[in-house]
Amino acid sequence: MSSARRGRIIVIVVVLGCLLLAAFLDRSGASNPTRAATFVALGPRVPAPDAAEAAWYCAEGTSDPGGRADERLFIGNIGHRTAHARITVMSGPDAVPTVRALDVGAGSLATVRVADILAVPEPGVLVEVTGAQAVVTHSIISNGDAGIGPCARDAAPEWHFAAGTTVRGAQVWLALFNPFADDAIVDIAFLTDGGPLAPGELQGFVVPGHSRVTVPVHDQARRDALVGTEVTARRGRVVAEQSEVLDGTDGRQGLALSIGAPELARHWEFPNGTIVAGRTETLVVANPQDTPTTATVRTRLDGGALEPEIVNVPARTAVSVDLGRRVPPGIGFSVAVQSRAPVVAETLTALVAPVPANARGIATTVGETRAARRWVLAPSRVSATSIDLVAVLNNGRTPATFRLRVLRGGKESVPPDTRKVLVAPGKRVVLDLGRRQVPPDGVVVVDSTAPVIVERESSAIPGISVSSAIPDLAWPSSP
Amino acid sequence: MDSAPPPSDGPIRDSETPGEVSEPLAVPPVVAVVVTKDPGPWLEETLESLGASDYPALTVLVLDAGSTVDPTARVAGALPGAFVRRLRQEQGFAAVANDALEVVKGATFLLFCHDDVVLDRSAVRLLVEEGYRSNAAILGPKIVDYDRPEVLLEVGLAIDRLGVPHSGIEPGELDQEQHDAVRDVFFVSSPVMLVRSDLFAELGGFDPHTFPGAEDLDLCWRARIAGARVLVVPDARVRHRREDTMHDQSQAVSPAAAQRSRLRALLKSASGWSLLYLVPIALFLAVVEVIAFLVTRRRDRASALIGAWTWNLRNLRELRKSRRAAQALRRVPDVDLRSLQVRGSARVSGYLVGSLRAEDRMRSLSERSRSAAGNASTRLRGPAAIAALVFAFLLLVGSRSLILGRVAVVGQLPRWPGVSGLLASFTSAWRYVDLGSATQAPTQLGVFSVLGTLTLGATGLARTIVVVGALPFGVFGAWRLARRITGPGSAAVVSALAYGINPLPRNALAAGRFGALVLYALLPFIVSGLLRLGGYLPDSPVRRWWRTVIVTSALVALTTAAWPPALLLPIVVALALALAQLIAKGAGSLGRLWKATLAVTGVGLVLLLPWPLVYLRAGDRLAALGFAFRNDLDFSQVLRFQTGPNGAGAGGWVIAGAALLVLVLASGPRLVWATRAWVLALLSIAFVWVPARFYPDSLMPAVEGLLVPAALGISLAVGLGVAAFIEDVRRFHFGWRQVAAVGGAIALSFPILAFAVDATGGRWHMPASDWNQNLSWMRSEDASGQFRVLWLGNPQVLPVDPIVHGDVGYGITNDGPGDVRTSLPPPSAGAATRVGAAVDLLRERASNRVGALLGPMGVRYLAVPERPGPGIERTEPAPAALLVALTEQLDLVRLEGPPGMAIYENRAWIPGAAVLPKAAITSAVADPLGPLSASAVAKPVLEGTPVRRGSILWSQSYDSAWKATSGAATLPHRRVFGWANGYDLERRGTVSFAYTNQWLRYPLVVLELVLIVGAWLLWRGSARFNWRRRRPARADSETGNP
Repeated sequence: MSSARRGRIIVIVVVLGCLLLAAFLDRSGASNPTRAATFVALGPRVPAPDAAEAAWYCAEGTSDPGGRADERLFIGNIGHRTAHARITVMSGPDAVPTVRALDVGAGSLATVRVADILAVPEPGVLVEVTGAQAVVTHSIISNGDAGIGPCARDAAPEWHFAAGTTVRGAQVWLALFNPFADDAIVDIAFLTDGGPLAPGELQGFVVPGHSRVTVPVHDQARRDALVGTEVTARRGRVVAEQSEVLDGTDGRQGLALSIGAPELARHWEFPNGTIVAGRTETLVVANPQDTPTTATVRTRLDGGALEPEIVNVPARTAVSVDLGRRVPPGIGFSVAVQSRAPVVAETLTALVAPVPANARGIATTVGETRAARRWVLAPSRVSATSIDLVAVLNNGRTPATFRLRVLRGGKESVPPDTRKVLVAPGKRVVLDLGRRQVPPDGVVVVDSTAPVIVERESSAIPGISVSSAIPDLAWPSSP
Repeated sequence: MDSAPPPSDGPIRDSETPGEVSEPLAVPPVVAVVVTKDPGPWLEETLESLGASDYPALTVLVLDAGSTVDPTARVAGALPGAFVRRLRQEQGFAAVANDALEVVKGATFLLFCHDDVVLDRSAVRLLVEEGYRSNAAILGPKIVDYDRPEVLLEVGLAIDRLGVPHSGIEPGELDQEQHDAVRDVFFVSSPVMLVRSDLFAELGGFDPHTFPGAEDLDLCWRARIAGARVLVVPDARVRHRREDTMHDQSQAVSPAAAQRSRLRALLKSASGWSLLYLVPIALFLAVVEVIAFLVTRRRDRASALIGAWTWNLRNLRELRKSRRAAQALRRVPDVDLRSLQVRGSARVSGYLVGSLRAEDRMRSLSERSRSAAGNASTRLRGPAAIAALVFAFLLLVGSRSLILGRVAVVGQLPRWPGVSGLLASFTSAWRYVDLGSATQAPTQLGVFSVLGTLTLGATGLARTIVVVGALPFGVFGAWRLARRITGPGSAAVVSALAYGINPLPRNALAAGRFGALVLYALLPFIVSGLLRLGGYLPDSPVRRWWRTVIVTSALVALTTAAWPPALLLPIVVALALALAQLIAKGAGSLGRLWKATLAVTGVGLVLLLPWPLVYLRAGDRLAALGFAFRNDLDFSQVLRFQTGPNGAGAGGWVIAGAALLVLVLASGPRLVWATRAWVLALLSIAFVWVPARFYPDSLMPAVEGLLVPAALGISLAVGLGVAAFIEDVRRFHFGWRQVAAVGGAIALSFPILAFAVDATGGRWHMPASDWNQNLSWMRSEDASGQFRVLWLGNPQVLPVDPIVHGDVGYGITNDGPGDVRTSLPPPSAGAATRVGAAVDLLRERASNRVGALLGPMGVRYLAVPERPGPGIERTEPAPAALLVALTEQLDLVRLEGPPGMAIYENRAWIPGAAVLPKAAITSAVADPLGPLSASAVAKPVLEGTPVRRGSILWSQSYDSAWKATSGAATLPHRRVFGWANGYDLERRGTVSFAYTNQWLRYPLVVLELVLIVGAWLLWRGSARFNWRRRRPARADSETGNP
């Protein structure tokens, strides 16, 4: 082989070799790192430790004397420094918002009655916290019942509720809060068991800036056993919360508070369920899409499992599932809903006689879609006399170990038997905070080694309230 | 006195004084002073015309300035009554003419004449008569061409403000008595000039230092400021040969002397106030002209301009003395002379008149055109020329909307403001970028202001020329480079065409990657210079090493000014050649190459000083260097240069395929060159593909820029393949190689077709309109105070030089959509990091009050484009989290924006210059949400408008050199909001701000100019050496000697 030819071959080998190697590496996906997908978290969540400021929006509630749902705020500081809260009560686009500044010590809870800041029938409450990690919840009390739940972290372009009812004696109030300066325009529709309903006056409905408006759903969707609510913003964003009042006409009486779901999902979890005499639990699945879907309801009993139940959910309707129908009395359970298309799922819990009178009431809660290693409950208990049950569900495939901490007055304590609690995959653990002497004016933090879902049921407040705890989605470590 | 007197060193005795009149005459005596030196055969005719004058009291004195042959006999023969005085020392016209001050006594007028003029019989009489009639002190005749008396040469002269003469006569203009009115002029020229002798004596005669070129201008100017009139008397006619040794030939030989003389006249005679603005303007124009002359390769003119200034500086002491003398006679202010001066630049108008209307030039041009057309028609029949013409046609068609319309403001192609704005930014010690910083302005602002000046202030036109011209200029460069490597002919043309049809520059244009375009245009020249310096081009040896280094460095500097990563370009090229050397050895020395590379890089860096010093400061240097883009191109896209909407799709493989053919077609040196070309291409491709493949989160400079060396390497490989094919055909070898080559040629039609398809749009997919137009309403918003616009989104679509945090790019513009003055921000450090921190809060959704944080920074609007410009279909939206975070902001209100862009107004903004109650600023500092309350009570501080007492916020980064004054009082200065300037205004009044360290910038600008001029002088030194060496040969050829 001549040197010229050898030189040519070397050049060809090198050039073509580089090109072919690059082409091969380009095609092979094994070592091809991809950029992390952006996940936009929605729903109540603990702010990141380095957040400069965290805003919480509390939509439902009233603060005027004799209002239908007296509102109270709970600000729980889980950080190590003092949190500076700035509570702004907005009452309309032309009204100057009333601002109250409040410092919340490290590891402690502050309670504020909104009426003490500004007494108006339609208060939209914005709580901005700087300086430390804090969570904000609120409660409303009326009709001998209480509803408690986290305030929203986001204003969103859409909101979904499933478990409303406008049967005789029922009132459903949809509170829409627009904390921004410019107006929001929304369309409101209802998904009933009889089909969709979109009242003309609720299309292009204006929610003025710096305002909270309340829509009486019961005046629009009359006498429907199931009323799912859809709020879609044409412009701007709003915060939507819904309260439901039953006057006992059908035997159920009380007040329920639900923060809506800011997005649809295919998977919903309900960690805490139980069937006892006088207690009913109804799961409502609403399908706002234009195509029908099916949902699989998996009821996981504490001592076993039931066969999954397939539920057909026609387009733009809501269907209900009586969870107590198949569950033996006295057995606790959790429920998972898996659907083919995105839906919203919510439970309606009602306690009637023979349940003791101070525990009777109703509660609604939209399911949880997120699992996290840390959850926060504020207040730690609703009252000193209430029965507060914390359900920790491990819906993952690996065992999780969690511990409970109570922060109060800047001090941290661990209730008895909660230092290291094991939860098997697919199982749940329910802890009674009252029995563990947890004080009511603190904050409970659940730290887990694996992602879990935490929900609290409080009864004898008076009445009953069920709500999800607040996850810390950024919390990566284990206790 | 029948005969001329013998030469005398001393003054002529009284009895011999030519102007002495023995008998009283009725007319004032005139002495004609004919200054001569080595006169031609025309002297006699001059003297005879004087002798034939009908003026009765005219005496002629011939002053000989040291002629080689004594002219006395010739004078005696032509005009026996004339006097001759010989001066042994060789002197100029002015000095010789001043001899009349000593030797002429009793004459009322002195008539200074060149020795090549022919006066009409009545000329002297008419001049004298008009002198008395108009009480004029200096008078001049109408001067016409000697051979063609119907052609006007001069009827008095004006000057522009800078002392450049302007005759108003077009070359070849016929005398139709259109100028035949006696009138005041600024000056008359010295071929024939009648001067009142008492004034001449008072003025001290001509200034010898203003000869040649401005002795007449200087005399008349001094006479003018002394209150004397200067008239032209067109009825008095003089024919002028323009062959006088002292004037016409000396000026032709030494344009530098004329330049320095004119400058001296200006510096002497203009008033002090006038000089305050005339000197800077003259200096600036001189710099511009020097650059223009250098570009047009007229080094002698450039040298003359520089020499004029340096000569006057050297003679400053003497100049001041002369100026004092001239100004001592001043009775008339400059403003009274303005009517005799022309507006604008006499040099420009002279150039236009001279260049466009000169008959002889037109005739010459016509002849040359005919000749060139003949040659061209022969050449154009070749296939390469046809291909080049088709390419040029397609290029014109494809760029038509950019040429006839506008180049959109997209990507890194911001609007260029006016020349004054560019210059002000370039010379400012404070950069109004980000939140402001005391850093050096980018060199590109200076370059743009020069380009804007060259287009007479039409900066938009300059921008269009640069942007649109990049593609053809790059192709031209590629052709020049290729012909040195592949040899002249079709191969070089094909190589250039392969470079031209590459979609890379079109995509750079579409995306607005200015740096990539400049690199595309200049890279072939840079590579050519490096190859020559490294001895890789034996057919193009470097005669003067430093000269080539300087030229190549200047190109590198220009490219780096537009795209900072380009400074490393010579190193990349050298690295490629070094790697290629491992595979295929060829001519060229790596040692020489590296030496040249380091020299070119170093000199390039020096030419950019002091701007590069900016990158020494702490902060995000990579972002400031343009590392702002992530690319997700796969290997096939990189290899096909498919970086944007232009290109051939799968057909893009063809260019790379054709380039590969060379590896099997070429042999010997061509194979070596093909190896070098491919290694350069592979290296460039690796810079793009490796990060995209293995480090997708890493930030890189614009991919269009990184791939330019690849485009050049592949185009060279294509050209080498063609050269190899032609060589094979010549040798009558036929085989599979030829078949493959023909196949390759046919396949090349795909990218050509793609090029043609892209051309149909007329703007290479660049948007027709831009966000700048859409947001132009913002510019009228500054009545409510200065503000900033924060651009956010995908870095690929932002019309700023983005800084990237995570996956969000951002940039800040002032008082609207911005312009090039905010380009190339310095590394963000100090206060500037606060903007980044606010962006971080947004992208992490860590605050709902980012508006309040941005408020004190004067950020009034947040613009979030999702596409490069309006009307573009492809979208590259901002990260979802950012979009969500923006909608969650409590202080931002979304405005109705154009499709493809979300615009938010920050209701918590505080004007850039604002007055607030003291308590508002105090609480704002203590409380992160404090600006909320501050913004509600802030009022703008507007120029000249009184504001109430309170705290003044000047939202530029805190710098102790910022000073605020109210009336005569300097306001106490402090830091507010942790980063900005705050002042306490104790009583109502107007407030103005000044940066007191501006004086630091001027020496640096001068340093920059000195470095550039120094490089030029170094380059010129080499040029002069060559010129001197070649000059004798040229002189020989001019004289017809072998």
